Amino acid sequence: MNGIEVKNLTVQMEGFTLDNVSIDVPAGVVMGLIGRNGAGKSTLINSIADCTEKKAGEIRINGNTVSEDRVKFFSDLAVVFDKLIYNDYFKVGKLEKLFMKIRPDFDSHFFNTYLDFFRIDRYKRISKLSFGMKKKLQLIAAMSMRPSVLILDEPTTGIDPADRSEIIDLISDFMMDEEHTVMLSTHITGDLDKIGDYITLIDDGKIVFSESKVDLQDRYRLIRTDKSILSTIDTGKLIGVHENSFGVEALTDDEKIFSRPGVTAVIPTIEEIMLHFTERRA
Amino acid sequence: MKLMVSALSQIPIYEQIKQQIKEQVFSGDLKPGEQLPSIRTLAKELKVGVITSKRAYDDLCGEGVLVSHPGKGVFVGEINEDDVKAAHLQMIEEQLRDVSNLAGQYSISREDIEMLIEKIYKEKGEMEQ
Repeated sequence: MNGIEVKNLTVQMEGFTLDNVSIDVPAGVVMGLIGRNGAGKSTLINSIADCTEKKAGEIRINGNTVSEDRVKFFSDLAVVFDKLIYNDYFKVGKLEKLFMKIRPDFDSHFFNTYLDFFRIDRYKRISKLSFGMKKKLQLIAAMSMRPSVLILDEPTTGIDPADRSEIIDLISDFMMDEEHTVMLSTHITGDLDKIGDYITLIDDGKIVFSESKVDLQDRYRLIRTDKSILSTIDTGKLIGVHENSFGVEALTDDEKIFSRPGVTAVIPTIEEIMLHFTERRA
Repeated sequence: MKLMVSALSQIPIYEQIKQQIKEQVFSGDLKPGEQLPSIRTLAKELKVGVITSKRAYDDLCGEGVLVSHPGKGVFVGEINEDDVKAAHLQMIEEQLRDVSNLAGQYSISREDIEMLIEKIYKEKGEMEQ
């Protein structure tokens, strides 16, 4: 079963179109959503959370659309947006009371355990918390709703390495349940080199690829060679050719190219894959 | 079981996990029949994806280093001395292939390489005396 299913989604906004996007995220995996700024990551997340009007397409959470079963859709799903959506004049403790009212399944024990763990002061106003603390508070709050599908928009952007590692720990803990599914968008592709199971690259409102990281790294190689050899290679098989006066670097999935003499081939990181696929041609 | 993985390494993470488990099985640190952590526990502890840890276990099961008993878990396979020797020979063969590729690149002859091996074993013999 798919935790998240996006089928032929089209969203039209001023100056931007999310164009016929389809993604399947199987239950039990972490999907990393990557792409440049303005590629459509947040628009996609907002559409899944039913916060944006769709022109066409269908979203399913654990098999349900929002119109089939609105209550189940929103009790299975929790979303952490990139911007704080709480009234930041509230004290942390007040937030808990509020959530208990609107979400009957809100887990106060879980919420308080993690507040203590991250040393977040319940008597402090949210506006007085540091940026990293706010991010952790949002994540804890979302997880306290006890969702099975967690969607995070840029959970680690602007966070120091120690806080980032704690956020990754929280996500790892959440994934201990094999019915849980995570989709997270990020610029910090290094987080996905480890924790990511699937990678979806979105560029200019379209899906470039959406597949398992292990398969991507099995298939693609980052090759380096010099220009004299490049002229003998079928450049149609190369993705994002970077040239400087010493040599050439490109991504390819053609085994014939990376096993050639004079070509060094290394396994690309997620960042390198993204850079080569999203390169703008002049 | 001791495991450490790095996302910065050139070797894919599932391959790092495989190599380290294999080394411990062949060195006897992991005993035949010993139970390994579940795919999800391994993923959680190493902060890696479940597909990464599953791939490592699947490959090792395919090679007979591990055996999976559905519903019970993953265990170290019955490894005999011949298997261990074959595995060690394979590791050495891989390194020798790198050596022969490097020799080819620098136009070093096979005789020169054989002389180097002779020299290394001779030095080793002298050290042990």
